[in-house]
Amino acid sequence: MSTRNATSPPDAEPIPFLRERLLALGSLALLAPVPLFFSNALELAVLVVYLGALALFLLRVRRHRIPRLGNRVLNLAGLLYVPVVVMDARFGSQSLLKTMLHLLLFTTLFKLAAIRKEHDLSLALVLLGMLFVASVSTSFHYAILLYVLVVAFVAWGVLVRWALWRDLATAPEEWSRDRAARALPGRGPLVTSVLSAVLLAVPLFLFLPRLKAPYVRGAETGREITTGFSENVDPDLFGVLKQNDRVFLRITSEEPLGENARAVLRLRTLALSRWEGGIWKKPSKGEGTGVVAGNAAFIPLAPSGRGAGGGVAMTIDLTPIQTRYLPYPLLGNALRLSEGSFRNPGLAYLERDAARNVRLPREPDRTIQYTVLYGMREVPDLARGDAAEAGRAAGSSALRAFALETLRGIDPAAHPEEAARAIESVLRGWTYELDLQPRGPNAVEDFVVSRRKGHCQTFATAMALLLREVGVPTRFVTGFLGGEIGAFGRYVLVRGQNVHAWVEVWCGEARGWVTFDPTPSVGQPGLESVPLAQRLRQVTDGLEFFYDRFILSFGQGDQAELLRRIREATGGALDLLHRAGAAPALRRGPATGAAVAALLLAALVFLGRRLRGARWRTRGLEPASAAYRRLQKALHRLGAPLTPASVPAETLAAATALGPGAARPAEAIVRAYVRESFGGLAAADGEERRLRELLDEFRGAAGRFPAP
Amino acid sequence: MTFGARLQKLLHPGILVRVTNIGLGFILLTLVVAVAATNTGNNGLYVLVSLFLGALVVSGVVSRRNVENVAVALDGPAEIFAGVPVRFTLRLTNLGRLPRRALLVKISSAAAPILFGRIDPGRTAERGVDLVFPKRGRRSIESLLLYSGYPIGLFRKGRVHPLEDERLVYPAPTRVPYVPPDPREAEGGDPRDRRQGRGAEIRNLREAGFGDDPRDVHWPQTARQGKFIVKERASEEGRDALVALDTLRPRAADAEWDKAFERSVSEAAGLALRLLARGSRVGLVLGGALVRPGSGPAHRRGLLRALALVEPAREPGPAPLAIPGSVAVYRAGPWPEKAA
Repeated sequence: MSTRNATSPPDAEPIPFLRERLLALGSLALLAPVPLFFSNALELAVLVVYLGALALFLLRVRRHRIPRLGNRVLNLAGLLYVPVVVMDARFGSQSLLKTMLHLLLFTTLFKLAAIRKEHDLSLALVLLGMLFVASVSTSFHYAILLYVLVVAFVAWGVLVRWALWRDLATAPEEWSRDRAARALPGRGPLVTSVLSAVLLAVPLFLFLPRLKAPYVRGAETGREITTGFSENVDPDLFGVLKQNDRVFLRITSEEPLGENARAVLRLRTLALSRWEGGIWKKPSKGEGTGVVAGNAAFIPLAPSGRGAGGGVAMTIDLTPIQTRYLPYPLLGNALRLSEGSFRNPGLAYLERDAARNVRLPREPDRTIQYTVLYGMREVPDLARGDAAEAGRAAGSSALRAFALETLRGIDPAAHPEEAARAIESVLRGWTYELDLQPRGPNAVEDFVVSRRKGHCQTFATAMALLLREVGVPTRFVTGFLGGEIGAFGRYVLVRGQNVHAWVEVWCGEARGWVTFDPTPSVGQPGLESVPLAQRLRQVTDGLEFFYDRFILSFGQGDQAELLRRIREATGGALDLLHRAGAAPALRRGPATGAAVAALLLAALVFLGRRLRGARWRTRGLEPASAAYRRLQKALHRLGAPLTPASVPAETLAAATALGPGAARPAEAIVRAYVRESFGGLAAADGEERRLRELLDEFRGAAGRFPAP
Repeated sequence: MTFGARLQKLLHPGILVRVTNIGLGFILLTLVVAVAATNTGNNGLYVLVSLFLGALVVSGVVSRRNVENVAVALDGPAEIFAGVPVRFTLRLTNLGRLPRRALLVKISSAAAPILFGRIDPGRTAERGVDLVFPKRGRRSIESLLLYSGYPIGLFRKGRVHPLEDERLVYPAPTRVPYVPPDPREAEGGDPRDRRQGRGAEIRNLREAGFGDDPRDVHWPQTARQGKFIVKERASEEGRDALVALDTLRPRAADAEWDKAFERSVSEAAGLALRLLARGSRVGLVLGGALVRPGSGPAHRRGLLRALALVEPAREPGPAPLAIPGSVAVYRAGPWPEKAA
């Protein structure tokens, strides 16, 4: 870059407020690419070069040394830049977005340094707008909302002053003369305007037509992989989940969870019955996967369909955790996906397999919401389902010997529940530790025979395999237990730490599948109320959830759901009104109707008078000012074109038009007002009464204001 | 009134709206982002589109309210001379309930705008404005344009405020450096015959007394006699002077004649004012019309008014009525050597 002296082109014209406008543009140019630092859309080096050059530019502008590049410099820069960007697009990043961002940064920078005409400034402003839009579109983090808000405040302030600078191009001295203009936009109007725009943006965002599914690719970029709910669960990796503090689920219950919270918050996600090579797997093919379709209809969770359709509603928001399986409470009996959870309403369907797993057609890539109805007691699962697969022993002599030893005196075939309880009781006495070291091919045997330390998955796997060795069908279940009570409202956050594993044991045709949890109580996550210090994390988690659920993933389905709710609410309100109208207490015939109508009318008139009278309010005014305001009001009512802002001469002129009888007391009132307001003279004793009498005299003498 | 006109009036009652370049750019950017949002389904872009549209609405509403309920008044002096800057006072009163910001007023399309940064509700702000009326005659400022790009300059909204303020612009008086003396004096009139006054001629010399104006001291005589001698001036009051202006426009007259006529009107004004200042009773002969000699402020205004409105005559008018008594006639204008 060069200074005006060195390279100032001969055709550069003097532009009013150039320095001020360049500084304003500079502030926007600094803000515009901020999201690019966090979105990995552009190399850091490019951004640093951009910011460095911009800082240098602004420094010079602040020192009144405004750079204005000449045509030759611009042409040379363009010639050098084009091959670089083409090469980068072709062989380097090979990303159109990246190339566009490069181009925008380059163009913006050079345009700022080569302002020669008024038009160039407008162009630079538009370029910055485009850079801002491009930057925002690369980010999927909720903090982008805060960024947009900050930019809105800064840009609004810049535009307010920009507009004035443009209008004062022919009279720049007016700007320096008027202090009030230089103080624009002012804190109050700025906040009011931006917040009004934001408030207006909310319904617009909700109802702008969505023709395509929400674009959410990249939302999970950079997040660690979670396993545990896929169709193969590696016990060694499962524990990784427990170190994750991300919010996986957000649960809102229709009624307080109360004493049953712990039971309600045991959420079953995936039951696996096949144990192969140290990995839990889904049942073999041929187990039969039933398809239960439905959109907006509850589907029963138990294969028998018992218990479906009753109980308390619980809304669950599930963030994308790389699974197709829906967690639901063990006490749940029916489930319904919200319409908004589907990209295409009407095409929703769910699969429920033999192990009562509820599966989506594909892995969701955004937060989905569904409702579960739950009761106070678990609905018995009496279908054998995958019991055959779940009864297959691993064939470990060590495990079999330990099981037989533990179950001495108990016949597992005859009393499977008793046998399961005995093993559960033994395992619960062992030690819980969250050690994630891989244990090798005989990890379960080592755990049972010697180590006797592990996390929930180790205990659940051991119990399942021990029971299988003695012929009791047992399946391994992953899910969530407990949660964190939300800081605001009646909801529970379920994080990675709440991931848990347990078993379901086939206890005969009468009892069906019964749940057992062999993990020592210290290893069973509970329902926690977090200390105050951690509430902040809940706030950010809440923001992230909100952004993910209601902004990033908001689509056509959500719009349909929203419209349905509005329709329901409207219908409900109308129904309420209808019922109220039909209530026996009000059915008293036309007299009651007339009375209600009269009351409503009176209320409207009262409100109207209050609103109209607000401008003539006299409360808090000194006696003469109050009398003057009343005089103005009286004149206004008589048809004079007066407002509270009318000057005394106008008021007096209006009164004089009513004749000498009215003019005399009016003049006395106006004089008293002027004396009090502008002369700073306090009212004398009896002044108030005198003014009242003058007003009465005026009212008595005044006729109708003559038509103009 | 057609339905469309009624609707237009309802939507924009007297408000002039213009989309600025920035506004156009903003609208185009909004459209581009809207297309991109619809095409990609990127809700980040939907957030921006919504915010842009929200800003458009807020900007539209605020800009309209900002120019509504503002009373405009322009007050100026009674005496205005063509080509001479006159100080007017422009008053804006905010009749609304919210402050008005960044209001601009244009008195004529070519003039620079006058800025009112902020006017609080019920308050009046005023600014002095120097106006120049280039031509004499009846001139009116029919309207003022009040406009503003506030808040963010996407729209420039304004309102034309009718003033119906017609003013009489007097001809610019040409400075007359030398007024020819009364022709009778040239013939040998004695100033001592006249009574004492503030005229230019010296009537008598006498010794200074209490209350004499120091400016009247006659220094050469004072030096000579060794005591203060003051001049007694002769009064010119009561002597009538007529300024005559030939208004007949020859058939072959061109634009140059018109210019010369305007110069003559200015010269006549200058002469008349100079004579009035000298204490004479001054009258005007404008073609066939006569303004009888007189003096005083009202007469001065009358003379200027007549000169402000005088127009070239196509036909010769009747001879002016005779003025009784002694009258000195001063002819204004450089013609007839060129125009006649």
